[in-house]
Amino acid sequence: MNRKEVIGIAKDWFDERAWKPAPFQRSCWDAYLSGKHGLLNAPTGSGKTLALWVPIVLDLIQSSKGKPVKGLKAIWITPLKSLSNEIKIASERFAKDMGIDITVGIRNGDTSTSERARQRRNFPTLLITTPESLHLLLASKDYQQKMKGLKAFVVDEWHELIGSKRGVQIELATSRLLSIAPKLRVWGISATIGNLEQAMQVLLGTRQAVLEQSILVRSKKKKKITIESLTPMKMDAFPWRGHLGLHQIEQVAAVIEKSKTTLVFTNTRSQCESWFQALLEQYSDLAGVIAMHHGSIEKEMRLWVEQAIRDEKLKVVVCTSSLDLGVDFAPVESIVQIGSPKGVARFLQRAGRSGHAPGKSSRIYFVPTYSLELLEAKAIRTAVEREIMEDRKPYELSFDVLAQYLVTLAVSDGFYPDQILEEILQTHAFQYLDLNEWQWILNYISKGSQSMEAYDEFRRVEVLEDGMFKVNSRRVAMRHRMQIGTIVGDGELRVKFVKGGYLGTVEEWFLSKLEPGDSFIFAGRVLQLVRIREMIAQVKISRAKKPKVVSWMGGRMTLSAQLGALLREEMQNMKENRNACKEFKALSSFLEKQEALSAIPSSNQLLIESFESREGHHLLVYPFEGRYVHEAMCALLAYRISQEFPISFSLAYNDYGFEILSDQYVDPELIRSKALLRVEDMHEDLLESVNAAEIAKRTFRDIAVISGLVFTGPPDKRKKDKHLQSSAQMFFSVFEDYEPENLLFNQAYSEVYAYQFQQERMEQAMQRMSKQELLIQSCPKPSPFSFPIITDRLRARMSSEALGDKIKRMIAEYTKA
Amino acid sequence: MEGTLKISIANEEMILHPYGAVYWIRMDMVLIADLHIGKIEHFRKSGLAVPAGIVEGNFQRLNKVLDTFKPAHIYFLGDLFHSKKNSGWDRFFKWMETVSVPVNLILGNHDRHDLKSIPEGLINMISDLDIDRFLLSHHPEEHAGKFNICGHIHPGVVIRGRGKSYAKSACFAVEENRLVLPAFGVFTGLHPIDLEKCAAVYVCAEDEVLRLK
Repeated sequence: MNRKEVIGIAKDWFDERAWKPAPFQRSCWDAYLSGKHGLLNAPTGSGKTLALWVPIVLDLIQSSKGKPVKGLKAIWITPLKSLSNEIKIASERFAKDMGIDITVGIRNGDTSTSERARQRRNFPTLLITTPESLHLLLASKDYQQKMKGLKAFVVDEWHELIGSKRGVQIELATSRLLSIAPKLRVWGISATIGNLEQAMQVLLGTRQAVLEQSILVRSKKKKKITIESLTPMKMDAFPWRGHLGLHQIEQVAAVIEKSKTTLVFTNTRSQCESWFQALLEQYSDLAGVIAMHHGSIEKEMRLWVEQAIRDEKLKVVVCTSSLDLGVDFAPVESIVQIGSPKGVARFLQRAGRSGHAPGKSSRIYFVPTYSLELLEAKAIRTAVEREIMEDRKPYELSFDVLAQYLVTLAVSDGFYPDQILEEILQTHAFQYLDLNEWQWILNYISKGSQSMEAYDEFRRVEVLEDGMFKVNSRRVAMRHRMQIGTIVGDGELRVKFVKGGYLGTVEEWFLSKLEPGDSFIFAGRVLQLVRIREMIAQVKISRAKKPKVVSWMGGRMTLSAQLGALLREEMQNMKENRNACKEFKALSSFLEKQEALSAIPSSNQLLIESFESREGHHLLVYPFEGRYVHEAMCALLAYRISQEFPISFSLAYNDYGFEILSDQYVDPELIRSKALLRVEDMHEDLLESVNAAEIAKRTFRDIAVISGLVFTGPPDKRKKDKHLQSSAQMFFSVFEDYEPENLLFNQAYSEVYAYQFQQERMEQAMQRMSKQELLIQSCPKPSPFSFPIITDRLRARMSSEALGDKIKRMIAEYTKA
Repeated sequence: MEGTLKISIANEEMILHPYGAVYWIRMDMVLIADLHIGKIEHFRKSGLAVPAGIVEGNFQRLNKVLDTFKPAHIYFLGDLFHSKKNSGWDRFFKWMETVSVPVNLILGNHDRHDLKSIPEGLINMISDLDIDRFLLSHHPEEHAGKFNICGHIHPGVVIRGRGKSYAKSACFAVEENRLVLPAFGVFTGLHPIDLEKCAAVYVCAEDEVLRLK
């Protein structure tokens, strides 16, 4: 059968169902069958699975010539385990209709040991799996033999993986599979992101032969999206600051009332808990048809909620990013977004969760939590018009992932460094790996150090006589397999009813602040802590009136650069025409106050405000660059001011601007006259100004686990290794003192600069700001813009002292208190 | 002696060294707890890459303490050894050859493997030491009329400053009838103590002992 004939079979299958293949599906079929690699850009629910699964099956029909298909032919990666089943059902159905005898298997953390063993004996034709489980396969004996017949490697939801270390895992796996399976075609599927071209190159690597044979296929289908912002009935009641947005509960309830099913998206898990409680309290008829969904809720409960949405049993689900991706929910009619969505892509992805039925548009309601956030609704509409989208920045030179990968290969069939290095240099992540770094990593896994010691007991990877790197110790191999992966939990305890039944997980630090008998809200219930036993918090239902709301570290997102730029632009528009849109009109009294007390900057101006209060002298700057950049920028500015004269500060920031508070007056003109926002020496000054060591220490935790410095096996297995307990912090400290050149230690700092302070973006921002006119305003009292920042209770102090000095000062403070 | 701190405890003068040792003046005796010899090697043997260089760090610290006080006796308050015998022990025995004063070990919970492999007469091993009004032990002990000096706990404090700043450090913890020594060994970890329960707390702030409470 030639290509035209097999495509004919698929077309018939579509015809029988009165379907018509979309142009992007046809493009993928053609490209795949002509041996191309590529990236498909298509949204969820558009038929993307069939775009790639159809040609995989057609190719098997073509090449098997009626004989049974033997062995593993295709691997399909999904970032979420819950997506596996749908892909399995869809792919099995098509294969069955085609009359070809092939099998589909799922392999992930939930797969039983017996099923895994069965698969190893007799691999399914298509294996649906996760990045972690794929690496586990690479850690099993004879994987090369089992995988050499692979023809397709499909990475679904690549946009979710590319900006994480799981993406690096995929890149490494791709480089390996391309070497062992000569007929392999590599395909990614991605939602729209700003850097689609780059996303494809990152997945495929730098091999010229592969890139020449690659294609980016875009689905032209565009869904209509309606964005509506909900504003309070009375604008006066709109708070200048706030973070929950509960003052708008009435309007949200009205949306819920008139829609079949509504998803209410919140930005944090504690906000999710608060909204769920508030809705249930004020609208008691929602009992039974309201549910909540976030990442710390027990898995069974989350799955139940997802199924209940599909079965149209629920009217409203309050959720977090945990429902951003995943299975399609046809019944969802409306989406509500509480507070800033922080980015265009995220907002559109959430909007896309509604209106799945053909021809329907997606409808999303935006609920600002305070006045100025209203601007974001307008900014996002502009973004949609202009098709502006954020990039997902791929990780580079993640030595921790590389070390883990090399041990993985050493555990299974062993590897020869020269051969593997060639492949690794062909990945995007490690294309600039230099030979010293490579040697460092090899020494790290085989000698545990860089020096040539005559006798040492270090045992992890052994170097055999012929130069092969191999793990021979069964204990090392077992421990390594248990630890494969790049997602590191944050010291969490499971929450369980005394009488049985798990509710989910809560971070250790939060529980450590509670005493038995204290009450807190979690998983939509008011609970009383009874006791903590072996990493499990036992609870019972409580009737307490004022329970605490569980809070989680991390997960606080930052405003994207794209959205920031649009906000600055909207500021200009707002200045020019106060009646241009509903949002501007709603803001008018707020803006009048801002203009009376200070000013509204145009897009080529940087607004700087100063005023005095009982707390001291406030200096505010509004770059609109997001909280991460502002955190670093305000520390930098404070440091540079302190170089001019001795002074101490307290610092605060949000997504729009930052504040420097001091008991001394700082002339805002200094910023201009001393060029305090210059890009020059930024890195050096930043090093002096922020307590990078403290932040790097936190980042290092993940690196230590991924690279295998710290062992975090399951609790019951840990007992055997009692004498091997240590913490990432202990390692960080000894590296600091004894091995400051350690690559993993230094990686912690690079990650802090790249991802926490977003150094690249900060540099661009400062370049832009240096060209802007400074609009310096001395205000009689706090302006509306400043309000959410100056009332932020989370403040940082600037500190660049040595540990000894710091402890001395803290002791002085402690004794005073 | 720079960085050390002379304190009076149970009417007895003692000097605290920032590395975590105590010098008991009247007895001319150095007390050191929880050195965990062999821990680094034990980790490395299991494939966890603790920098091998820190082994020497332990001995440099020991030498500095002995140079400072030039004591007539050394007492290790338990957990001198971490696990089974390995090359870390041999390194320790080699160091012992350079020490001219008698070395005593009050056995701790970790000191139970391969004790027979310690060269005959090298270390005097005892379960505790009842001396004067004092009881030296590894675990905290209650003994009527005795002031207990012990290790085992690896006491540490987390000091929180204004804003988000904090610092973590090893410390000497003084309770009503007890002095708990910090772990002397490098790479031994800290256990945060309850400040409320302590009569006094002395922090090892790098090269200096400071009174916190």
